[in-house]
Amino acid sequence: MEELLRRHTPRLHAVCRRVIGGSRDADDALQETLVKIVRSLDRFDGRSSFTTWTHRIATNTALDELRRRRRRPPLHLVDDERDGPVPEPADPLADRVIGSVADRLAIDEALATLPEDFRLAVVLRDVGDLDYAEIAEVLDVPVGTVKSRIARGRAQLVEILGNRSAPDRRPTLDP
Amino acid sequence: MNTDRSHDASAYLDGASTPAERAAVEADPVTLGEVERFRALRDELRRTDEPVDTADAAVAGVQERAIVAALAAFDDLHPRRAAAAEQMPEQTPEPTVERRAGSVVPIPSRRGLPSWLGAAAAVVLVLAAGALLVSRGSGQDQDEASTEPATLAVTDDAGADGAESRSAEAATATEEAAPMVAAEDAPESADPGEDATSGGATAEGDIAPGTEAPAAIEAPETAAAAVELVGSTALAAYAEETVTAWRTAGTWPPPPDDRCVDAATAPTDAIALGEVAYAVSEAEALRPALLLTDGSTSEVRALDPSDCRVLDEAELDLAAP
Repeated sequence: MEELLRRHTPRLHAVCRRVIGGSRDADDALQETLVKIVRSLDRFDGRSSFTTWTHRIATNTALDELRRRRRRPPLHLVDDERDGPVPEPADPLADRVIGSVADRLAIDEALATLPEDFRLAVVLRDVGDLDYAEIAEVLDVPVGTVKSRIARGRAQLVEILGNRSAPDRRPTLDP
Repeated sequence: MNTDRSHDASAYLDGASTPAERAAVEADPVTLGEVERFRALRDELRRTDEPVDTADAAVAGVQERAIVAALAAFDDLHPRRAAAAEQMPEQTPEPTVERRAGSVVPIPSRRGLPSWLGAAAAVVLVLAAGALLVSRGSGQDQDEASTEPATLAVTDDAGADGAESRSAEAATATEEAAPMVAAEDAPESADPGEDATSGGATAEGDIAPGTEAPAAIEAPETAAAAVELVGSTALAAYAEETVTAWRTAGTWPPPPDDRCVDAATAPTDAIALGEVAYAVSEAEALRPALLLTDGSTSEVRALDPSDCRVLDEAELDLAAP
């Protein structure tokens, strides 16, 4: 069981973070996802792949967490120290740290502006690495819809990130 | 933003284009540029989730805590298994484990089992379904009520009892699992917004009780072809994950399925892992395939269920149960 969880946890965490945004809510969603998986494991019937099944649980849990968060009044502008103050550049790794945090914030912000349908499809494809059929199963929509949502979501993300990024920061996304 | 161009570029990046579409993309520099922008976006999405610094030690800590919490929940659900695991070090294999390993009965032998066993399994199924309906009617906590029979089935069943175990498992599916099944079977909606929100809402367990039981007990054939696999690597990965999940849940081996075991190409101790849609390569069309593994789960074979012809096979890398 532990091996099974360890194998899938990083990707499920990434999906939760990308659906919800980098925050403690995503961490909570991950924990809830794993608990749901072990509690319902004896009902996994092999009709979908195990990966698809776990992603479905993660996606639904993350969405539920996101909806709960939207109902809560915001307490702070920054809700997680990981995404908050950036440490002073005191070592060679610092620039990379700052760049990474900035990239994460930019992508989280861009993803947050996408319609939920598009965000889920893009996250499951590009972060979860599921194929179209698996995403269709997770989201319970036809494959054609998945294909369309991914394309439109990517196009919007490229546009948003391209407009926001400085020329030297993310040149590959600029047209 | 050109929508058609975005669609073509996106499908191209994901390898979901037809040969004609691929050729069209490669002939159009503007669309190729769009492909590269999408590729950069994908790389960016993946890269920013990789641990890069000490701040990401917190990510590892979060994941570790989540795993620990999940394992604690697992032990709560399976106290007998947890107790057995504590006794495992420096001992010969635990009796329960031995009994389960010994329960992998060659399919020809299963066919020789007395006919009353099938009738007994049917009776158990009917009783379990009846008990489920009664318990739903009385408003009991389904989650608590359902996990206990599943645990008993795991530790007490042997060999041909697999059918009983799986039947009880299906009949005692809880609110948490049933919505997932129900969601799979829901009709496709034309409204994208409705599609996504319905997926999330069903995970809350808000499905009316009357809708759960039929979905959970539904015959597996209806959705068997939902899994699409291409190539022997995917075949092996799917088989390994399925076997591991079933073993972990204590529902291994699955119910007997003696299709194709008469074929000379199937192992005599074959165990069916279910049906999928399979293609040997991207160039071939998906077709129904019955997956069989041998008793020692060292390999998996994909067979055409109509004529038991071997379509493909792959070696498995599974630890002993």
